[in-house]
Amino acid sequence: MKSNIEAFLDLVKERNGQEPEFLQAVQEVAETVIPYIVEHDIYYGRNILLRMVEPERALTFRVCWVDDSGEIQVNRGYRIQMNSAIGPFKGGLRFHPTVNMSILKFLAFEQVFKNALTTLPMGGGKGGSDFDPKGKSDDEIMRFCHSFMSELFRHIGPNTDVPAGDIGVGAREIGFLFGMYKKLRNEFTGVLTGKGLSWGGSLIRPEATGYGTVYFAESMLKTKGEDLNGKDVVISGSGNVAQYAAEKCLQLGAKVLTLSDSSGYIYDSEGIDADKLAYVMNLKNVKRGRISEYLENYPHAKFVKGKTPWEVKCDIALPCATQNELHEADAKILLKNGCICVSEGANMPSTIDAVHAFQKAKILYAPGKASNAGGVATSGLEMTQNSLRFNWTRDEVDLKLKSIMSNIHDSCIEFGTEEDGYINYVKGANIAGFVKVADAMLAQGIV
Amino acid sequence: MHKNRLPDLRNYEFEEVAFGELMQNRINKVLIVCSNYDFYMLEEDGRIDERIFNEYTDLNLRYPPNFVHANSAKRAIKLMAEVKIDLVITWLDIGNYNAFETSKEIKGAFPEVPIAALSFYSSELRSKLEKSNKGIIDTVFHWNGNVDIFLAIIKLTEDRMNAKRDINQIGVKAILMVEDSLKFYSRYLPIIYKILLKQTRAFMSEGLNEHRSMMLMRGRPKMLLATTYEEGLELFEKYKGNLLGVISDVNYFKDGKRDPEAGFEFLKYVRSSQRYFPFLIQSSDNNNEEKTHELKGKFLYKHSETLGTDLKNYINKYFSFGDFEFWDPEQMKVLAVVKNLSELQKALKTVSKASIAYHAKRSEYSKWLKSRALFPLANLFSNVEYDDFDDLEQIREFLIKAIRAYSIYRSKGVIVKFDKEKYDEYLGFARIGDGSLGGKGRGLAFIDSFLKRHKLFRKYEDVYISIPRTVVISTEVFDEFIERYDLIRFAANSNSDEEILNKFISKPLPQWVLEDIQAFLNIVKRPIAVRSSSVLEDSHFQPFAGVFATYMIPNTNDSQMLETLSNAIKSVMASAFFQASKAYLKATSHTIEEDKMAVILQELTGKQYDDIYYPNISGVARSINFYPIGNEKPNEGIANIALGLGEIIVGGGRSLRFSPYHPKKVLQLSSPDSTQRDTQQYFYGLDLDPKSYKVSINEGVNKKKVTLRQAKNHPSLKFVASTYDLQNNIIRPGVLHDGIRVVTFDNVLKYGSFPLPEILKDLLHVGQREMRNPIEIEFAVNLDVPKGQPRIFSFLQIRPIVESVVTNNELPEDFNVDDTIIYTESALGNGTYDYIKNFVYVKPETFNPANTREIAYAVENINKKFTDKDEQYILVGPGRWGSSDPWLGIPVIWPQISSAKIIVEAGLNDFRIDPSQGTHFFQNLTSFKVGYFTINPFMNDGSFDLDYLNKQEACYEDEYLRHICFKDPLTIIIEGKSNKAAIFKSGFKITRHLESLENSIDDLPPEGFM
Repeated sequence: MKSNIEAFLDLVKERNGQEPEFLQAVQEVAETVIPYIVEHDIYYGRNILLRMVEPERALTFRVCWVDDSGEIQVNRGYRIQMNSAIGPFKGGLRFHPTVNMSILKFLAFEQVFKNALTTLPMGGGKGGSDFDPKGKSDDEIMRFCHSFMSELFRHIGPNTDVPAGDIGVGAREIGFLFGMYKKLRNEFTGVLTGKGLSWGGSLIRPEATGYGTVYFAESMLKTKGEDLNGKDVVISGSGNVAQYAAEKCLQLGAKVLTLSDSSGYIYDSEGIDADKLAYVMNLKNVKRGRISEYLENYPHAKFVKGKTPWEVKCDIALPCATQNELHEADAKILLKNGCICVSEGANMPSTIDAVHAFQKAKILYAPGKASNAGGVATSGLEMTQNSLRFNWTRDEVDLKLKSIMSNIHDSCIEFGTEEDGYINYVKGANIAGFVKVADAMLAQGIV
Repeated sequence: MHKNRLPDLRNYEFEEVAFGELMQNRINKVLIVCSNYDFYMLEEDGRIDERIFNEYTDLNLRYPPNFVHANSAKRAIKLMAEVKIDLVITWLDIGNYNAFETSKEIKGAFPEVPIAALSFYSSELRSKLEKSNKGIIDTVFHWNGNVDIFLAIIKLTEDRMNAKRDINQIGVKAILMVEDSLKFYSRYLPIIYKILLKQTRAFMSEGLNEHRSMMLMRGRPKMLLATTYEEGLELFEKYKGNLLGVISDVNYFKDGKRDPEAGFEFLKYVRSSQRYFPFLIQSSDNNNEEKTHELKGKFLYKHSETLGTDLKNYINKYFSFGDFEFWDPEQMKVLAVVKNLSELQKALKTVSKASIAYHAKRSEYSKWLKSRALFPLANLFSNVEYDDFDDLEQIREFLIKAIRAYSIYRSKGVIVKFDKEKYDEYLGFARIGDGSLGGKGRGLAFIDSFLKRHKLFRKYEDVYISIPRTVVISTEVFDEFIERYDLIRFAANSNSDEEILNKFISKPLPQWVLEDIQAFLNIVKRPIAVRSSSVLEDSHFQPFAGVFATYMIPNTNDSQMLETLSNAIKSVMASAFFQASKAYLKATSHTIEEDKMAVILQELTGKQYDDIYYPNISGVARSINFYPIGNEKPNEGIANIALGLGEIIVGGGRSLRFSPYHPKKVLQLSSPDSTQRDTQQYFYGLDLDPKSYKVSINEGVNKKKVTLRQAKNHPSLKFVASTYDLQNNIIRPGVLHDGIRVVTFDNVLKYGSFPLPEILKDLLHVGQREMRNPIEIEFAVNLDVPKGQPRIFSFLQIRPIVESVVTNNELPEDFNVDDTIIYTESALGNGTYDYIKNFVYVKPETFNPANTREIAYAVENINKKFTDKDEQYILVGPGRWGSSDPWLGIPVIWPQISSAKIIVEAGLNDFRIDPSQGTHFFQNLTSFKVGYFTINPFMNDGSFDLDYLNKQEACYEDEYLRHICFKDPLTIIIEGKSNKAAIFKSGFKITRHLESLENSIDDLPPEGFM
């Protein structure tokens, strides 16, 4: 079996030798998926993975623009249309000086599976430019975006390819890109996501990841006949994801005990209720203070300097701060303290060893790629609303989000349930995305 | 009737009168050509030198001329070849001495030198002159033995030499006299000159200090003499815009022949265009009086016993010399008499409308001002017609406002001597006592003067650029205070700041100073900053800035205020002897006695919001940028601005950095994320609660730290803040939307609501040129002003940038790259580092982009060792330090590399990444003055001698890193102005040819910095 993986990787390497990031991503997927493929003849015989690693289309194009001092600048634009088996290409645009083909192919490849996992009809793609928006004026950004779109518009469309934002591309850039697309095509369609609320954007975007993480936890608990009501929850972080995860926990009747930032964590044994959360939101978003200032208003709480909150006894842990914030030792303490469920809000917050510890103890553990897919999902919901020419209310979007998270969970169960009944969400998430795309490709024949 | 628009006084630019350029031509040496006898008579009997000298000093004139004598044309010419002669005076009719021939020879040799002649016999002279004098003798005078005539001759000659430039180019006024009788004009001119010079003395009080008064003297009205109708008419036409009036005889030459009506013809000619133009006819025929009156002129009888007095009265009245009298036109009585401008302004508020109209119709306001050499204001008035106004109240209002505007204008750029009787709201900069202003005070005075010289006050619409109202208590007061209570011995011996402070506070300031301060307080309405201005402070090579104290006190406008302020003043004086100051003095080889302290009282720029007071923008700008990023250039300069008091910037708090040349490109505002993370979260304001100020050695005692949230209702935010829109993840300029407020200054920098970048460009450029050195300035801006009033840009300080003065921040001219471990032409920072012994580098042979996270931990561990030991190191690694993408560099955060003093981003042959140029840590780099180098040796961009390093023994080594502990510190030089830098190999010594101090001071800033 090993030779299968190696043989495959050798082939990919031969064809993409100059693209280390892409190779690394392919390797990760191959390692989880090839055993599955090998078990299923239909995929194995149709060279499905080899077809997946080749983009359907990869574009590079010239982007010329004039800077504020009248100098002509030339950048390189890219769009990797990786896979459209289950829906129009969908994936972000990144403006950053380090953008190159290898990085974009790597990101586009990952995006295919991420999107598929949401169960929404979205293919995968990625694009961008080596343009550095840092320290540029608004007008320069605008001129660049306009120039970028004056080529890209030929290759995208609401039913073809729907780019979104990524690093260096926020609502401002999406606005400029959309404006030029609309002018050139003479039509107002949902060709980009991440738009402003008043011109096609969707609600719940800031909340989506945090809410989704909690919904996923709720779905997981349901498999054990449990729910969040009355549970003690430990949350790390105090940014958007953590704040809205906490908010959703409270709405679902759980007791939130901790929040943290890089200086340490606060522990409120009485629970961080809605009022206290409002205070934290103000503290972090408006005042941009340290989490320790929580004690100024709630002196009964405890601030633990320089530590992560995993030492606090809890039923559920939601790592929502940053990558590698939960180590093996932390996992062991959580397990010792009786934690039954870990749902990741951040990207890869648990180290490999920690993940193994959770899986070994057979508690409910959801990797970020599944449990934090709420962000990607709202992009899909924005497309849907654009197609319907209708804007959903907060509650409607929230409801759809909940249903998507539940669907993702179901997919994970379908592909991740081990022989002993334990649900390996990591495996489930990896394979579910693959299978959905692979099945569609098989159905559509060799194209 | 057509009305002209009235000038907008808010933006009116007064035309500066270059008094310094007036009277460029002076008579310094007079050659008297006459027989020895005549000269002897003049010398011994007349004592001409002495008498002229006395005359000059009596009239407060400077530069009395010297007299030399020659008794023949030959000698005269010989003398004139040796000595510069400005005027020749000769006698026409003494014995057989042939004056005409002599004059002719002199004129032939020195055609530029004017010749005047004296004669006893005026009547016989005329025919003689007509025949022989063709452009040889310029003026002839009657000699009656009175040396006063010399003064008149000299002054008349000077007036004629300077007339063209001074009158028509600069606007000095003049009186035209048309008279062909030698005897009469020789009698008149000395009288009129005496009146003129006396008048000059009267208006000297309008000068705000001695120097200005002396300058004003040069603006005295001039005399012009014509002897024929045509000559008179020509002068009239040439200078009529600036003539105060005409004094004319009746009977003189017109059309080549004597015309008994010539004076009347002249009068008629003048009246045909000017109804109220003063015209005095003087005649030896009384019968001419009636005709004169018919033609609306005034008349004087030449043979009147009281001719002198009559003439004086006429001049005073009609040429608007002397005091200004407000008349009630109906009852013809005087309503008010004013002596100076300030009295005029006061009287205008109370006199009747009819009286204002009466004088306005006759242009008497401008005339009076002109005769007092207040030309800029006079010009403003004379450009406005009576008919331009809607009603009389409008005239009154206009006059008062114009005087106000002028009063402010003329005090600019002038250090006014503080006079408690005269101190008013218009005076911007005054000095109490005669001592030094101290460094900061001199800086302020300098700013004030160059703002005026470069016409920057009003350069921008709706913006007023100036220094805040300032009074400097000069070092004389400090000396007197210290000596009177013998404080120096005490202060030198005490080691307790508190004790020194209390001792100073317990002694009263001199009474005269307190009276002056009270007069200042009567005028000031805003809080007051009390700043130190040591004579040693801000001097070129020893920056004392920040060593001495600055206190701020709210203005309570009550009886307590004098005591509070005088305590603050004494606190500043005491700070000269605080421990920190003593240590600084010692370190800079100064003695305690050298350190004299002037104290600056300054109105604080800003506005009250709730119970605190602060400016909308505070800032520091430098004319050289040692950390240029993107397309910024070092010589474009850089600014840091913040909301609230400037303490936040000076104290290293968070502010907004921008280049005045690229104000729309602000690194901190690149994304909504960075905008929230990297902008100001709090600011400082002055606590207006009077109780908050206490005598203290802590100058921050009443400065309040305010968070943006606490200030959310302050109207100040609308000028400087933007709003983060969470749902859209976007920064919206302004505060119209709900959301999180962030201080972006978008309105100013992106949307140009205030021309801050342009102002800074101007000030940095001008300031650098004036200082002949890269400079740093401090400023404050108040944008929140009542509608219709200009926004205030307060220029607070200027000083040379010391780092740029120290010459050894330059790489040696002839160094060899082989002597360096690292050489780069892409370095951020500036300075020489000679204390770093530790060199840490990521080993290229084991580097793999997949392992950058692990390398980050390794760096963190090694950094911690340095932090614990309080040592610093050089850190070299591939790719972008601090990259969020671990594939592109080592993803450290600042605390993991906090002890690195030099950070190097080195490209590798198989790892070619676009450099970050330190943008990930920009705030940290600039505030900790960390050097950041970028090198890509594989493409000949800089060099890196890895072999050298690999040969050194490592004091620590792991899989990824190598740490070399050099025995002696390495020499590192970052040449900020060129972005070049080098780390030299151990043991390398730099030899420099140090220039002498004088040469280096005189050196201009490097090319490109002007």
